[in-house]
Amino acid sequence: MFFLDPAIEVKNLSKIFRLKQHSTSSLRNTFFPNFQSFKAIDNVSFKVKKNETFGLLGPNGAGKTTLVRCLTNLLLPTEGTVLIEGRPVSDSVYKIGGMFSYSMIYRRMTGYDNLKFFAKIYGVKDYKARIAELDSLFELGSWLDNLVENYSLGMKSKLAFARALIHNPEIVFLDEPTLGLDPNIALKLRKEILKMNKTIFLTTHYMEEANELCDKIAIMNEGKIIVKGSPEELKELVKQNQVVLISVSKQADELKKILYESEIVHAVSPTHDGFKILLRQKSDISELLLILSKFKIDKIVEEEPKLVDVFVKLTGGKIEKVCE
Amino acid sequence: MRKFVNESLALAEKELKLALRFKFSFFTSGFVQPLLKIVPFALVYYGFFAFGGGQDIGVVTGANFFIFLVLGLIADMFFEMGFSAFTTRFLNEKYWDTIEGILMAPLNKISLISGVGLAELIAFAPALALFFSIVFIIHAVSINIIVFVLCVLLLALFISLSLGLIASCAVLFNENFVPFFSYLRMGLVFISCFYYPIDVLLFETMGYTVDLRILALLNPFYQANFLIKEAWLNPGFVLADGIFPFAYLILFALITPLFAIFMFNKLWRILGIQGY
Repeated sequence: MFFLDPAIEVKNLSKIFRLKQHSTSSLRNTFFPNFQSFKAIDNVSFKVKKNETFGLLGPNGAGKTTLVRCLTNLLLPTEGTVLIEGRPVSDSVYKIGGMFSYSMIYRRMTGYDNLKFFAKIYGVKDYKARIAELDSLFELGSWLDNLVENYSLGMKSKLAFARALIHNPEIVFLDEPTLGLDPNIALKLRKEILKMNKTIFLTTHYMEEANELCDKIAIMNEGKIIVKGSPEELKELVKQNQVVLISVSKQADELKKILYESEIVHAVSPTHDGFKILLRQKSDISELLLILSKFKIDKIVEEEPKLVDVFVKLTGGKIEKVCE
Repeated sequence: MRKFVNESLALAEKELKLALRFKFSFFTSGFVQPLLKIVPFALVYYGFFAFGGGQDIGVVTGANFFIFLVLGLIADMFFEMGFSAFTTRFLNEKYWDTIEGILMAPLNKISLISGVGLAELIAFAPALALFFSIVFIIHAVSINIIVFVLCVLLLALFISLSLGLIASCAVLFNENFVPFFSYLRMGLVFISCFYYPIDVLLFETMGYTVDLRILALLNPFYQANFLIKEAWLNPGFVLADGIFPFAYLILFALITPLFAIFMFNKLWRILGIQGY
């Protein structure tokens, strides 16, 4: 490895799938489906520096998991290259570890047997010491001797994380590591991620998690990386925007319709008692107040845009569809 | 070499632990399934020789049909355990979401074949020991013959595991291949003549003479089956008699794993894992 080589380098990566177009209305289509090309990753390039935590954000179906699969040697890209410390990914399997949610652990074996098996196939010399180390790090305790099928989701995630680190890899790929976890366990996993002195490639749906953990963030949509930078740099993109939180108890549907049609509103997302509105300009607040004056609004709060608003702004179409 | 041994042992240990999660089916499948295969053949042979007045069918006679069947059963078990091992395991691992862990790991594919083969051998060891004991009690042979037979069986297992690895790769990509490979397996069983002599493959139907013996002779599992029976049942057998079939088996045992690993490494990353 050359000293200046980035930990991960992705050059013009594309992945095209050939998908079957099934139609339930036609028997002919069931047996002779049409095929359609689907570009899951579209000419993606980026670099991740050594010991950097790189976050990949994007709505469902953006191509994040396909990208992680290409980066971890699980899928061959249609075009482009993936280099791990300057070498093809297929030559660097010892250097990478992966945690894809809580998969890749055998539920019919104990936690200890899972770790032991992966330690042996990764050639970990003193596997007992390494398992003990990971046990104290993730507080697996006596659960290690239980079958994984009896574990809670949080325990499975901890074990999957420990499994990914069993061979002490230099680069760790974490695909939605805190998905479905309760806040306490998610917080603990985040703390462990922060403590690691490793290159981390993280995909997540949680903006605050990305903000807290990542040095660099890329936002992906429809197979393309639409923006990348540090969390601060990304927040600059919404500096001219304004976020307004409103509580409304009556005529909510009517207000939502007006907000969607309004030129000044970039995106609207529902909250527990009203809406979160992302305005195109800070100066649009007066026009918004004019719209709101026709409704009985319980509360209006102005807020500085956050990373989630960058996400909403750049992938807004998807959020609006969810709202509708 | 040490890495290869460690990986193979780790895989075998993992497979056995997974299989032992449900112990009853683990212990019964080794004995009951193979016995169910030979019972119909045994009844037909018994009826033919005892009540039908038959003298022989090729090399099978009233005196040797039982040993012939049990030796065929042992050869079939080695074929079956190899051919089906990966398909079943990889399909399970696909639905358990664990297959990526295996595919991402720096696992030598020869270790994969050996590890799974070792797990199968251990799992079937009690049944194999029983069947070998039965044929040994009825027709004892020298230790040299036993060693030779075990070598032939291990070569056949290595070939069938390699074919299974190719099948599993196709199955991971598209489960439409499951029936295709199970029919292929049945076809191979048919031309391996585990339970009947090769002469049966020469027959007349609708006025035509059909000779499928050439297919059997080209089939390495037939050659393995032939060598085992020849070595065990023919008192005058010497290795020189079986040198060509044995060399043929070794050739297959060398080529098929390399071909299987090449195909597996190429195919799974291009085709991906689909259907779950």
